[in-house]
Amino acid sequence: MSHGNNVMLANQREPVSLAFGVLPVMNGVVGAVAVMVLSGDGYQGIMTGSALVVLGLITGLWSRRRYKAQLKQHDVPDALKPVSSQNQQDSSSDLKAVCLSTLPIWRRHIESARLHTEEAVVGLTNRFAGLVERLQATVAASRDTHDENDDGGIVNTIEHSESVLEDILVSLRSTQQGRITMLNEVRVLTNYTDELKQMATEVAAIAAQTNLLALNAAIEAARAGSAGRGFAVVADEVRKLSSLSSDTGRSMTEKVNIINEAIDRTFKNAEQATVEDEAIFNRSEASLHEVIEKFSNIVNELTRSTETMQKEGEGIVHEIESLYVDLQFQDRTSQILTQIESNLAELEDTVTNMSDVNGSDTGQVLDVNVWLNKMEQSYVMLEQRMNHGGAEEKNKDSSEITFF
Amino acid sequence: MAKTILIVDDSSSLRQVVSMALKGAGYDTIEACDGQDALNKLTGGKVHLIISDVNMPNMDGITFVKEVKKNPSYKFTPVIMLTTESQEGKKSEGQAAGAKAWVVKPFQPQQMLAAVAKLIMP
Repeated sequence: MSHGNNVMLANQREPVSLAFGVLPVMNGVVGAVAVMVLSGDGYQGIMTGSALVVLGLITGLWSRRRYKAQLKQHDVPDALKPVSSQNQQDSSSDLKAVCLSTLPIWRRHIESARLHTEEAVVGLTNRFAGLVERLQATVAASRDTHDENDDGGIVNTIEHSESVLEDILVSLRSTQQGRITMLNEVRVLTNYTDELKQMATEVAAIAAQTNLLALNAAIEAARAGSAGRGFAVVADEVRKLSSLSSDTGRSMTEKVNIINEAIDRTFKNAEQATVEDEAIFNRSEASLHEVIEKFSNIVNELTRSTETMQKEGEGIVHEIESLYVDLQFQDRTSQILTQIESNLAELEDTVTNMSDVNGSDTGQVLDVNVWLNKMEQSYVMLEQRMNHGGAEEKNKDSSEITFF
Repeated sequence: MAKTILIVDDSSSLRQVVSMALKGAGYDTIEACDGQDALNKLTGGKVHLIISDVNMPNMDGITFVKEVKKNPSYKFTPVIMLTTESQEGKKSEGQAAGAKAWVVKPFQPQQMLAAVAKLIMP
């Protein structure tokens, strides 16, 4: 609604209000006269007519008040009502009062918004810093775990374990080889015992020959008579010796047989053990390789996962670091708001100085150009200067570095 | 041993951002909220480089750099001005005060690190 319409509305209200008040009164009066005329000069007619007049009067007053109350609800603000030329000075004072009361509030609002933003950005920055730190620590820890140069690394540990297990297999194989060598030696011993057996047989044959020889000698000694008596003693002793040699040869054969049997049993047992050992060794080797292969697969998988995690971690750190540029805009915003706060404070001081302690105008004039120039001087950023001039400034993506 | 860099800025968020970028590259950092605070911090351990804002309360960046250059211990310590100011006049003031570089915010961490590496003696 325009200002002129408000004025017209205000001017038209008073007659309407009066009409609302007078009409019931008139109705009451007309009613009273009619009652009195119709009832004659009677006491009751006069009383009834008077009551109707009073009732009309009360109704009129109530209607007028109600109408005014309704108007008040839809009334325009006082601030928008037209002011007369005589009130121009009052209006200026009002504007000053509005400025003086509003400017500090605006400053407080801006300061509050600025501080909230600063606090939030500091919080965000701290959280990002914490995230970067934790990510870097995690990436470093996983790198340490897999670092092949590190003695404690998983890859190294498994490779070391594989080497140790391979050593055990080599030892087992060496033991098995030693046993085979020993069996071969035993086999050679068997050949010797055969020779020994042959030698024992030969000893027995020699003993038999000697015995026969001794017998012939005894016969010849008997034939010689008393002259051969001494020779007969010798022949008897030779026969005894041949008998002893025959016993010894037999005994040797028996012992060699026993040894041969023992060697044969040992050889068979050793052969059986070697076959079993070979099977155990083969199973062990297969199991060992299977375990090592599984470990290697796990390690490869772990290595791939770790590499992926490291790459992802580094990517996230890089992404967060790129936020460093965006986070710096809070500083720019803060500087713009601080400058506005400062301007508002200065404007408040200026408006305060326009009136003296009694509220009278001191005659101090605010030169707009001087004021704007002063504002421009207080800017610290190109963005502020361009905003001041009404130009748009594009956000710079790269910083400007000048070396002196 | 990691080099120590003093960061001087009245904006705590910006100090944090600069610190994060530098720490990520292996530098140690010390923070100060204005020129006066920074001068007090300089009495502590060795600082190898200073990154300072220009517009700060209590003591602005240009005055701070002038004060640093008066201190025999830090006379040759390189100073990078990190500021939203981009006016040539201000840059000249910084140069005259003894700053070695002028970086306009917002800065790219990689560029800042390159500037730091260039100014710090290896």
